[in-house]
Amino acid sequence: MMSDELSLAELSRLQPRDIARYLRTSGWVEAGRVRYAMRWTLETADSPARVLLPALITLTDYATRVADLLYAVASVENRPARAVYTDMALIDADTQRVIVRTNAPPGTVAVADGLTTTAGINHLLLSAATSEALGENRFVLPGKKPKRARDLLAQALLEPGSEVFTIRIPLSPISGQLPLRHMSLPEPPFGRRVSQLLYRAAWAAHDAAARSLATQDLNGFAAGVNSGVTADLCAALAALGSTARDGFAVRFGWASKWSIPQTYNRPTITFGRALLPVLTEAADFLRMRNTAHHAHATVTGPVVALRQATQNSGGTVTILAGPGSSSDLLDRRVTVHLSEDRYRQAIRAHLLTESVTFDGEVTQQGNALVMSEPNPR
Amino acid sequence: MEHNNQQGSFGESVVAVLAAAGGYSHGKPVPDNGIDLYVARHDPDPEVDARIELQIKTTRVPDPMNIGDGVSVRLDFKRFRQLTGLRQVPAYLVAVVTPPQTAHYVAVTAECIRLNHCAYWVSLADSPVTAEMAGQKTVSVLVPSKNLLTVETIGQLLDLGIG
Repeated sequence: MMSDELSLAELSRLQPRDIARYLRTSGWVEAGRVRYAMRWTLETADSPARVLLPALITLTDYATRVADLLYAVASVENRPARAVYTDMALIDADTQRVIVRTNAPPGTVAVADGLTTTAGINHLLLSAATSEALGENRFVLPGKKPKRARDLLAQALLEPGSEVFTIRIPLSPISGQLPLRHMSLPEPPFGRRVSQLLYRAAWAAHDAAARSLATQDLNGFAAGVNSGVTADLCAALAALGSTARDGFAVRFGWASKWSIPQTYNRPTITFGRALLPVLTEAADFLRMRNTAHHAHATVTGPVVALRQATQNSGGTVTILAGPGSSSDLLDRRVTVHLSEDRYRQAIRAHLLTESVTFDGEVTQQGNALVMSEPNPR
Repeated sequence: MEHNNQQGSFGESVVAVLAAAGGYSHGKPVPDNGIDLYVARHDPDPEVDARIELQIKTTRVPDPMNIGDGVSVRLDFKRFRQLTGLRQVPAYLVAVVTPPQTAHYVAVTAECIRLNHCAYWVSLADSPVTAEMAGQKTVSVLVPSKNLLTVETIGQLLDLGIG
């Protein structure tokens, strides 16, 4: 048996539902019934590809027919059957594939290009996970990423390839039994929410880049912030394309264990070569736009940094916003410029590890939040 | 080649010749699932595409011209079970009857190549699988002499494999 060959026992464990989900998310379309199987077709550059998906797991030849399907799909995707099998069998992980074709000979990738792609994937996933963990839309993500986002990156798996880099995002299992009267499904796990945000944000960035090509207007990226577009995400996408011969694609596959809304039905996003410089520009554009005016706000919390400009001229303190602060400041660091008297009070509070409270206008400057004209409480 | 191996190889080749003569593609399934040969008819219209799978047993008899009601074949229980029940691709048991001596397998003249002797088929789809059988290593199956395997019957069996 070849090492890549699948055993009948392995094949018989694949469920028709999981295979159908894989086919659907890979662009195949159901096209009628043949005996005990459903025919699926895929439009390709040459001619339509056809496979039969056995509908009954009780068929005597179920495993063999799954093998027929698997090898046919693998041939269409130009991937090992084992890799396709793994995608179909992993029902507890969302699968994203980044497809980058470089100038290296088929089946290989230059070491430097492989590293660039891997770093780009890391930044892409981290930006989506950070946006989801923060629960708010920002033009630029903070330098220090939330623990939840870093934890997801530590658990996600990467299968590097010569052209196809596969990312597995683990989804937490549904724990315990739902109460009988519980009518709605529990909230999807963090990993799924990150995948969904990445899908929305990547499509929004793609569409904004395509529009910008025609109009020379980058404001579509600012509008895309509501979908999760950030300067970080745009930079990561641009980095992914930097080694590509002719653009790159991101393909989304959804684990079957958690349902996915019908709106997530365009699994492949292709970033053509022309879009790549636009994405780089967009990253700079969003960083420039990252000066948002906040309404009057309150910050309460410990003083975590003190910096005096000159003797007797006041100073700057950094406060870690805790409970009692305006909700959009929570857990963020706010820089406050203080007069000499107030600066001394802040030093005292810092030494006694007491909280301080200020009201004032907060503006975002780069990644920093700065409170001006503060009034103590 | 050892006699039994030669006999098996010859039997599969005889069926392959019939499939080729009918213009059908044929080959060994991957992965190995105990099926000896698949035969397929491809058509631009997918609705007419068809495929069957064959498990081929070869048996030598003293007088190939006189096999009565048919040929009795012993199958491993596992192989027998593969041919029973609902299948997406219909499967058949084929028994190839050969002369006792390998030297008589083929006769070549300027007019023809003669393959000795015949192949017969049977469907086990409706055969019951009993608990008693499961306790046995092998199951005996009669392949009836009325089911002669020909180019035409292969075509008819393929027709049965269409949706």
